[in-house]
Amino acid sequence: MKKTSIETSVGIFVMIGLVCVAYLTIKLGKMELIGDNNYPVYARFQSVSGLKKGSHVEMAGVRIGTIDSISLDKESKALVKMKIEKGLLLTDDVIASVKTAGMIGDKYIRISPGGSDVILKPGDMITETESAVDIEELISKYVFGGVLKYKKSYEQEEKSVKKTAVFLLCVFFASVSFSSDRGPMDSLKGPVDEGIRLLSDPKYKDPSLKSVQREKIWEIVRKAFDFTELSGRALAANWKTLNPPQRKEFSEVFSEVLGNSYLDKIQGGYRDEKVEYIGQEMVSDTKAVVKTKIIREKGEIPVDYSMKLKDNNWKVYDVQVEGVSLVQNYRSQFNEILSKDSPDELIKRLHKKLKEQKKGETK
Amino acid sequence: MNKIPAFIVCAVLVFWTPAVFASDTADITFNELLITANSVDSGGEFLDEEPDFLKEEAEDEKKEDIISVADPLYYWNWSVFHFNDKLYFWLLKPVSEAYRAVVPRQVRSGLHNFFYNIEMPVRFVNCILQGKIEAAGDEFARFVVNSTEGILGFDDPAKNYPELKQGEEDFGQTLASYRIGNGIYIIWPLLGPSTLRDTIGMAGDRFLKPVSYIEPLELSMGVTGLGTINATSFKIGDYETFKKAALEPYEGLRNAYIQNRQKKIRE
Repeated sequence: MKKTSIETSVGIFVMIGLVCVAYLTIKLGKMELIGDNNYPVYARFQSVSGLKKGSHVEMAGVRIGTIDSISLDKESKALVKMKIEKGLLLTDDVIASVKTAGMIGDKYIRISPGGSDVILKPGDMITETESAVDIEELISKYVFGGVLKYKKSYEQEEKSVKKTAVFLLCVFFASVSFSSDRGPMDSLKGPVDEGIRLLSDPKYKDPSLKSVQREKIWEIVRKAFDFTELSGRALAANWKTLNPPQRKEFSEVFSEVLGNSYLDKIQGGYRDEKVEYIGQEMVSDTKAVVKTKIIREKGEIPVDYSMKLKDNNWKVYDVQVEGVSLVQNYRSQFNEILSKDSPDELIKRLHKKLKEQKKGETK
Repeated sequence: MNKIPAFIVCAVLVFWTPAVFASDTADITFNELLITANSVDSGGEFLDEEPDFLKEEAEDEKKEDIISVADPLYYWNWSVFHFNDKLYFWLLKPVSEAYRAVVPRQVRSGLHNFFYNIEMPVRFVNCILQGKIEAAGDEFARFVVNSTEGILGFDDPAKNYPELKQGEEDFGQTLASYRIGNGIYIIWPLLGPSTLRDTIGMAGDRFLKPVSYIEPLELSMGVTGLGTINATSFKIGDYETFKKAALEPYEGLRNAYIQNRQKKIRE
């Protein structure tokens, strides 16, 4: 390199450096992130009507922070950034609710303490939220008979709205009862948390108990997943080419293969990975996508669960890992096999795969 | 990971999107199926000739434009797939395992951050080329914070500012955002699955990667190799799980690659 070009590049580098410093000063300076006594925590609400920038965040009636900003996120929900005093630790299961001081007072956010021992880091999201309840709207919904629909369209704080609705109805009309079904995210959380509990249970460190642990996890998975639907969807158009007994056998072997493939990974590779629930999207009244993230040692893996409401239970019928749908991936493989071979051959290959997997385990 | 022989890139210059005809045929079979099917409700779900999910899948398929990719180089791809497979099990995996055993986690993590940080120009430029100014700003801010406070990028203090989002833009995605189709599916030795478009993308990104400007060439390749081994040391076992779960690993990988790219392009 010539001397002049070195000088030029040094000059450019210094310029970039200056721009960087200017950028830092402006962007970070405005956000008061340096030398600040607060740390940011986020929460997503269906509605924060009445809440203002600068409103208080309280816990047990004591002021612990303020609202830094309120914005609308991609899913048309209110994203609230709170600044919490440093030194005050919140656990990941606290509940943030929009409350009113007195009957017609100012709105504020109340944080109800949780019981978990996972501490929220700066910038984390509070997943459990309760929105501002619009009493007027609730009453009018009831009057016009729209409460049921209302219940379905509101997802995350469904429960709280329902509770309020039930309360109101009881107050006004004394004898109305409500059926209560859990939302898709809660239906998923239960089994996943149970699974993680089993995985981190020190009792199962003993290698001889591994199969017991595995059996227990498998049971939980079986309850949370709808393997019949999953196999049907993976076959798609090919479903027609299988006769009923074949379909049954296929679904059984396929779910075993799936279970074997991933249980090993979960059991062998579990190193305190954390599952973070991002939220849920209702596709229709009976279908939803629950978005989660697995936080690993290095990086995160987005995992989305497609769920369907069947007999009052939300069950998983597809999983998308980094955008790769399990069902679609297997469908392409099954199509490939069925374009050359018969359904019987496909089932035979699944059996063979299962045998291989079992052999691998004993080794 | 970015040593692409230039002549191969130049050799093939024809694009086409095979998605259209692929999904067409699927539609026909589905429609026929829906017309001819007469559902038998009695006798359990396995007797049902036309369960709800078949209809739903047919609709989803229309909505989500499931992309498939042409594979005219099947025999080449197939052999390279097996070559890469062996390369992973015989070379990359044992080396990475040894590396993981010897090098402490903090060091590996630092290196990982460092390699991510110095590839910022790739993400930054592609954000701009895709018109994502906000994301470009985030990339820039992350780079500044991590290069200074994070000591040359070995630490990642920018993760404390969650409003600075982490992206994964590359030139392949930029081309896709200009509505250029996948072209054909190609598996490269060492580099893994790709398509014609993404190959050109990789070649383009090479110019923005500081590592490719290291001289001599051997050193540059060495650094790239270190980056690969370091990255692999964090995900030993992933490929094994994939192979264990797949009936047709070749087809499975192809589908997974296309789906994953599709997601990244959507974002």
